[in-house]
Formats: sequence, structure tokens, C-alpha cells
Amino acid sequence: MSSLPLLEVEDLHVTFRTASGPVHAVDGVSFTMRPGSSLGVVGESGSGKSVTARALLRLFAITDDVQISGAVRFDGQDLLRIDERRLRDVRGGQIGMIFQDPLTSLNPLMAVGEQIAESLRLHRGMSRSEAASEAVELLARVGIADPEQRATELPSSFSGGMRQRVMISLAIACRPRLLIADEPTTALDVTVQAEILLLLDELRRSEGMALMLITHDFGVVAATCDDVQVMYAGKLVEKASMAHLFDRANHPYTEGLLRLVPRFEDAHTGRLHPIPGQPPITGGGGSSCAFAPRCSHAVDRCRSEVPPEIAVGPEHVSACWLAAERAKDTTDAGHPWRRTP
Amino acid sequence: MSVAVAKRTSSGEPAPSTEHRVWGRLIDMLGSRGWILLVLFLVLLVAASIVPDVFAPHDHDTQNLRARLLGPGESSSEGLHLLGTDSLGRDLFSRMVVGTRLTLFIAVTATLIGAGIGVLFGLLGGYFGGRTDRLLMRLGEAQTAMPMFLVAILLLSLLGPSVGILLVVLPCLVWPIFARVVRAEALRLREETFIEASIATGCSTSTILGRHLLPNVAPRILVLCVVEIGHVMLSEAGLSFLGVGVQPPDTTWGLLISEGRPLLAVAWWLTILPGVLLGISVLVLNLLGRYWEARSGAAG
Repeated sequence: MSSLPLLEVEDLHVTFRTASGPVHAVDGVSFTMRPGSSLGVVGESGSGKSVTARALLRLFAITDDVQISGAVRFDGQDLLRIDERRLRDVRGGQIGMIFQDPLTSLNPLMAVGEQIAESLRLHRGMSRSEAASEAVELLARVGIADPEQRATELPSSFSGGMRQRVMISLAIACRPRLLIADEPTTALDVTVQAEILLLLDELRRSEGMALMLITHDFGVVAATCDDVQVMYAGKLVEKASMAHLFDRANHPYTEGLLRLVPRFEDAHTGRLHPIPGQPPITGGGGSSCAFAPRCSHAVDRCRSEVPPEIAVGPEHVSACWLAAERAKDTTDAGHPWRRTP
Repeated sequence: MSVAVAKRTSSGEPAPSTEHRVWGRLIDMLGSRGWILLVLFLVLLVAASIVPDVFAPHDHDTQNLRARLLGPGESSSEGLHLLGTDSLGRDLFSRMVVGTRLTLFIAVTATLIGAGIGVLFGLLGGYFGGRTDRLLMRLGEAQTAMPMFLVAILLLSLLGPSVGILLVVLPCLVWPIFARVVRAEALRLREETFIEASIATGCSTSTILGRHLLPNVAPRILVLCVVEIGHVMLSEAGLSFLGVGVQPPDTTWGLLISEGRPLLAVAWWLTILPGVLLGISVLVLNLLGRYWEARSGAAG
């Protein structure tokens, strides 16, 4: 794989100024993505994972009073610094995005084919008729039967899963080099979920685009991603390859999250293992590990100093003061999702 | 209680006011086909304004002093005067038919101008929010708070009455209404994911406003237009009645009412009949607008 990164996020901070004071939604996040790679971003609600994704495209409501700093280098340009016009070329053209709720992410009064064609005409300079026939092809590619007919229909005549397929075809219409999927399967039922994930994985391989998958569900990541990063309170707490993370999760938070997923082995106890406490509402600005109050391993240092990202293995970092010791004695003998090589 | 009203309350909205109940009952009386009658009436009005000669039995401007102030149904040497004649012996029905054109033209044009301004301001205010929104909405409120009718009279008496000035003054009466409705819709739609998705697709702000927001508020705008045309009609009639609106030899229904007023005691029909036509027209427009609104509301 090429060593030149496609996306390089450096020390990204996103702060919302609200009536009740500033909220540091993203607090110093750095990561890179290679072309064609797949990255899962996992975290609870409010961990800053969606905000991170939106910050890449500066996708905030006009009324949000938001401050972004850091750098987002994509294909040689800093997306945080280019002007609105060039950013519009990137949006949809080079970075596609899929949203959580397929029921509301399409314009209810526009035929789906027309919505796809709109993007094609915008970014690929197609004529009306070229765009219309390309839209039909795209619908076929995401597995919609009878695409010519369906292209003329309104979103209301599609089911949730079908709408998400339409949304995917819209997002990949201009052959973006990066596809950001923000909880793409959360609103769908489990069987449809699997189909959509399979489709995303397949498209990533056939189109050679990178995929950034934002989710709270480790199962989704396991099915689709090569690399994982875990976010907590606006910070990255652990980054690793998929297999590595499930085998030797280092950060206590990651460990807690993994334990939250119901497993057959635990079925006889009939219990889940929740992480005690609540995630903080505003991350950042503190002088301690944000997870310390909920961490059963916390030592004094965790409450007085922010832990740096510590390398614990090849391409595996963990933001925990205990990372080195924990790396030695992680002996989880394989996880149910461990991929067979 | 009527069906339409029951639906509204069961959907959790506040209990309808008396005004709403009356409208609801009137709409129920129309049944499912009644709106065809309403549309037919409007089609007749439009036809009368396009080809008045087809509808008018007499020339509207021919004076006949021997046939002055004939009552409805009386005949002169010219033939039957269905709605009577005025003090110069001109056929009232023909004059009403001919007056339709200018009445409708002023009402429709002024409403469209007002709607254009209101929709633009509403979209901008609702979508951008913040300072833009506050500025535009305060402007609308200032406008609403001013007694526009007095301002209109002042303007028209200073600049002299003309149709052109009516088309400036009348839109001022209606644009804040459009702006308020469109703004509320834009505020709601702005939060929908599909707007965010269209930003993420790389659409420009004007594309988002024009192609994604506007079509989604269009049904409300259309309904409002229909109702407001009626209100503008009334306002124009009011101004013409006061002598600061349309001037003879042009004629509108409002002007006919005004011309008949001094003769109310001897020739009631000159005032009452154009008034009835005006009243019916406004009622029809209101009913139709509210009927469509209720229908589209029920459909989701």
C-alpha cells in the first residue's frame, strides 16, 4: 500500500460556544488514513466521533458557533483553510458522506435519480441526460432492482435499507477518494445492517476508496474495518489494527467497551458488564485522564496529568499511564470476532 | 363536531379557535367535491378578465341617460339590464365584468410581489438565523405594527393615486405574512439531515435554498397566496373606496362600490351587488386555500 497518507488529521480541536460555556467536543485528535484503507471510529454518544467527521468537511449548522483548529490535510490541501468554493468541490466530489438516518437524509420532494444526478452534474460536469443514465447505473450498482423505474420515484417509496443504499450511491456518485459513514447502520435492522456493511466493504475494494466508519458498535467495525480508533471525551484513547485491538485491547476504556458487547461465553451469568458512571459532558481543558473517574485501574498520576499517546506495539498506541504495564500482561486469549487470517 | 376539527385536535395541536371552527364547518359543508365549484367560480372570474366581451351583455362605458338607475332585471331600449344601471345609464353587470380584470390583476400581482419578497426574506432568515434573521423579522414586525392602511393613504395622497403605486403599497401589507410562514418552515427544515446531506454533497447555498428548501415550503406558499389574494382584493377595494386607489375611467369592484355609495338610498344595487361579488370572491379564495391546507395537512 502507498505510504503517502490520503488524510492527515493533526491536533484537531473543535469547540462549540454555547450559552452555558464552551464545549470542547474534539480535543486534540490526530490520525492518518492511507488511500483505500478502512478506519473504524468507535465511541459512546458525545465522545466526539461524529463531530470529528463533520469537522473534516466543516459541516456544521450555520447557527453553530464553532471554532475549529488544527490541520486536516487531504490530498495536499488543508481542508480547514481552503475557501468555501474549493471546499464545495471536495464535499461530495472527493469526500462522500453517509448519515445515520436514511429516512431523513434524502430530499422528500425530489426523485432519487434526480438527487444523484444533481451531484454528478455539480462535480463531474455531466449533462442532464448523461447524469440521469449514470444515476440509474449507480442505483443498480448498490443493488436496487429495476433501477430505471426506481430512479423516478420519491424517497417515500423506498424502505429504510433501500434509502440507505440510495444514499450510498449518492455518496459514491463522484468516485470520492474517501467515504465517511456516520453510523450508517444504526437506524436499520440487523439483517439489513449486514447487507449495507457488506456493500460498503465491497464498494471500498472495487472503487479503491478509503472508508471512515463511525459507530458505537464494535461488531460493525469488526465486519468492515482494518484499523480502529477509540474515542472518549473528545480524545483518541486507543488506535490499533482491528485484530490487534480485539486481541490485546490496552486502554481500560476499550476493554470496558469490548466487555459491553454481549458474548455467548457470558450467557450463563446473564449479565452485561457496564462501565460505571457517565461520560463527561465537556471534554478537554482538564489536567487529568478524562476516563479516570470511571476507571477501576486509575492511579494518582491519572488524576493529575493528561496521559500522552504511548506506543504499545506496532501501529498500536494507547493514551493511558498504565499502557506499558498493561501491554505486558494482556492475555485475552482471543476474542469471538478475531479474524481468522 | 366536524371531522376536520376532530382531526386537528387529535393530532395534539392546540384546540381550534372559534374562527377555525367556523372555517372547519364551512369546509365540511363543501364535501369532497365542493372545491370543484370553487375552482369553477375562479375560472369564470379569470375568463371574464381575459375576454370580458364574451360575458358583458352591453358596452360598459356607453351612457344612456334615458335608462338611468334602472333596478336589477329592468329593461331599456338596449335590452335587459340584469343587475340594473348606474346614474349614467351604464349597465352594472357589464361594468362588474370589465372591472374584474383590473381587480384581479392588482390583487394577483401585488400578492405575488409580496410573496416574492416574503419568501426570500423568510428563507434567508430561517436558514441563516442569527443577525440576518433578527434584522429581517424586526423589519417585518415594524411593518406589521405600522397602520399600513394609513401609510398607504398618506403615500397615495402625496404621490397621487395610480395602479403603479398600489402595486408598491399593497405588497407591503402581505410580505410579512409570507416571511413569517416561510421562516418557520425553513427553521424546521434546516435541521433535517437532507439539508446537511446536500451541503455534504457540495451544493452551494443558493442551490440549497432554491432546490431543496423552497420546493419543500412551496405547498404552504401556494395556499397562502390563494388566501392573501382575497385579502389584497379587500384592501384594494378599501383604498379605491376611499378614493386613493384606482381612478376612473379604470374600474375595479372597489371603485364601483365607491361610485354607488352616494346613491345608496335610491339605488342600493350599485353598492350592494359589487360588494356581494367581492365578498363571494374573497370567501371562495379563503375556502379554497384553507381546504387545500387541511387536505395537505391530513395527508402528512
